[in-house]
Amino acid sequence: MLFNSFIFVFFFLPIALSGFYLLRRAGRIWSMWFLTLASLGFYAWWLPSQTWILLVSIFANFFAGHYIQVHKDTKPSLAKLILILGLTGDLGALLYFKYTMFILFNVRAVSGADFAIPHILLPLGISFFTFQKIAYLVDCSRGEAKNTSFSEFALFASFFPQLIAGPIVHHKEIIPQFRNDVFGKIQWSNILVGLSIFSMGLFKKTVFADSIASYFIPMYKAAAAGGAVDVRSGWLIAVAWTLQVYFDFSGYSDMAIGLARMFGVRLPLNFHSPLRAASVIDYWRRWHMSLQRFILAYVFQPLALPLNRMAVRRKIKGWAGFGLTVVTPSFITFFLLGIWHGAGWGYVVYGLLNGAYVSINEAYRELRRRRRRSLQREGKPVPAEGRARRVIYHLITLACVFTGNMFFRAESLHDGIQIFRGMWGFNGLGLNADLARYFDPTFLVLLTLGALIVALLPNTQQIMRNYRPAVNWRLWTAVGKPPIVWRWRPTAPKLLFVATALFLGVEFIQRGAAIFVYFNF
Amino acid sequence: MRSDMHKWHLLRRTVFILVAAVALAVVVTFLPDKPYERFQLLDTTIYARARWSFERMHFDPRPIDVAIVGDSKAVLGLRSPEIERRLASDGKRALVVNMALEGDGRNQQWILVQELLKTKKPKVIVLAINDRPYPWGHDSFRYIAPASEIWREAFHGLHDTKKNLMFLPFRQLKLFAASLLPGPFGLQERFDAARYAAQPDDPTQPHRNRKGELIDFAETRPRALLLREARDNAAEFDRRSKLPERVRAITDADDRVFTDLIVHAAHQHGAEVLFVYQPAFHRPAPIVNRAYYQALGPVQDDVDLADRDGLYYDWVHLNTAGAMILSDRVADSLSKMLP
Repeated sequence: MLFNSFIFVFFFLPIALSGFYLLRRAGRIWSMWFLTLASLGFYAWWLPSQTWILLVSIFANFFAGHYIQVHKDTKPSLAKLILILGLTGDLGALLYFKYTMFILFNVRAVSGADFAIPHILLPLGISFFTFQKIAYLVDCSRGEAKNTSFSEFALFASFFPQLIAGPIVHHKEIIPQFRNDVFGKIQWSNILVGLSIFSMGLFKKTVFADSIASYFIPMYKAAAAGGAVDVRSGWLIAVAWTLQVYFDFSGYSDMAIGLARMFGVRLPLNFHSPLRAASVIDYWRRWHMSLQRFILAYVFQPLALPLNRMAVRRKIKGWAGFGLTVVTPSFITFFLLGIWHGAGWGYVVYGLLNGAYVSINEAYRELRRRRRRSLQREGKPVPAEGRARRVIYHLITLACVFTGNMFFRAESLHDGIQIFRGMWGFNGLGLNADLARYFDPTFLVLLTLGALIVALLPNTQQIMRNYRPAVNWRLWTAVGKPPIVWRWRPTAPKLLFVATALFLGVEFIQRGAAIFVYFNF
Repeated sequence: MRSDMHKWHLLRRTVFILVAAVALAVVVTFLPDKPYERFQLLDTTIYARARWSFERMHFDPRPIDVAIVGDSKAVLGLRSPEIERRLASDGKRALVVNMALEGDGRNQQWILVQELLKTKKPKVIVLAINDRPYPWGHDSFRYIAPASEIWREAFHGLHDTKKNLMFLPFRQLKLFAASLLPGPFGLQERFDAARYAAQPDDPTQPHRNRKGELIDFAETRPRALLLREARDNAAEFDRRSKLPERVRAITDADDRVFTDLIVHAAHQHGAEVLFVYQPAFHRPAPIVNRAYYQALGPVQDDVDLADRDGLYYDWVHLNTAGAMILSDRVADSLSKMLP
């Protein structure tokens, strides 16, 4: 079921909210089970035949986690074995459903063998819920998840606002909220704040993302269909895609955060104005934050720590040490991040390109650090960064992001390379007449408006900052302050603002409920 | 949440948002629009011919003596040139215009008749009927109907009320925006005579569809194929909503509500209504509401065509041979009604 559908807005959500709060009178456990079943229904709506995959994942991971929790101290080797089996099962399922076709396709292409490739349907949200379970099992083994009951885990693992496309949540930030005495008791502050956040997210998705998509998709298809992509068309495509995916996914994340809040649960942030970042490193801290958090904790750090120890042990210093301890784990991490998005060479290039960006960014930081130290040693003042330099940082960051994102969007590596060549002038500077007709004034106005919103206005959590919009909001309150400050309060004009966002968000569903870009992952 | 906001304040504010959102939706439905632009909203759909009908009524100075409204069976089965020819042979000069549109639903036909009566003085309106009235409205209604007509449908509690009312604010917003900036919305404020002239008065001539396939309604189909199609699609005629019978009496009344309106408006403008029933292949069903239609005007029942496979293009539509027979019969009925 889509958040941006009438069936969800007018049928599922009111029933889920009513049932959840009414059943609380019979006991918290009833509310929890009702919400779990509603969430499974929400998932099954899309393709009922695939619900068993989610159910198996819930049962298997609960029992694996339970045994790890019970035997962690008394039988550590058994607990470790179960952890390995659990992780293998989770990753095996992900590998099978997501990558089998890609691997077989490439094996067939390289070997020249002639065999049929089975069509394996990708279960909805498998990348998201599998990562959540992996984090849970690892947390169990680290002793961070304790005494989880099946009802708590079932709801944690199926909670519909975050089930299909995140934010990817940690056990330790959600289960304690389920255990809170007020969980399931209606608090109108949660409903009001949640509804406001949801409305803004819906508006971003249906009014902005889908409008941009309606212009972007035909232009992208024309560019991919043939002909040399020129510089202006290439950049227009890249900017449009980045704005579309930003409004789409951040809109989705706002909706998820708002919906969870209506049920009294605070989710973590997923976007924090990433397109206002002044470096690629900062961009990646603020784009799809819950995934970055996962990748950092469960991939980058486990890779970087032993490499750091190795560098110390073998006395590898200077740029060689930098290469070993920073560049190597960055490339591996971003390679995995790329293919997490999907099985395709475009995603591989997307990951590696971002690995290169981050490595270069880290190297630049290292150079600046060394220069600062050198100046300090010499007793000279360290010059402050000027406004012009910061503008250049922003522009370079955006150029990197726009370029990388085209490989993320491209339906094939060839398409990605075509647009990349166009963007960077390899196809000449003249405007391709076939693509010129897509320079629609409305499209350009829409993109300009979107860019101004992204550049100047506060993001959703900054608007709602008075009401602690996310579980980890305090970590981000001082980051990425917007040029224009605007805070929501429940005054009549601002309530009317939410009502207008809700009205337009719902009305624009009439154009057709488009799926969220990240549902594909 | 701040301490100054206790439970009832919060509840009131939540309700305020929901009520304000609904109120906005209602207010927006009263935004002004232009009928010509409403009809253009169908340009990229299979109902694109509705625009031609509008232009014929409003921008073409020729009179309309006989207007045909109905579904796709009427589009293919009632050939206006043949009806004119036959009438002429009877010494009756009349301009016949087929404004029928693919798809069922009397509500859309009422919108066309309303537009027709604004500018023309037809003598007869030919209204195609089925053996069982279609319980739902037409898909195009929400695009071309004035807001007041969509509210009227809601007042009667008809089936499509919910989806049409939901769509109305979006449509009005779009039309209002288009009235300020027509270009980006692909709508034209002014009549394009060249475009209009390029379209045939009779859409049943051989042509190529979007896939490039030749469509020739003169073709016939093997009887076995027609029988299979008729059998496979028989349930389509009897499809009804799953609502209780008492509720259906209200919700399924599209045909009766809008037929009444059409007939009443026609009579007010001095026009008569001729009801024409053409059966689907191998479905010699009687007209369930015959008495009702007969009380409003003459009924031409062509049920005898039902088993003549040589006259059918597919399981529900007549081919050219069948259309010629039906058109001649309609012309004969019209001949008695026209002065």
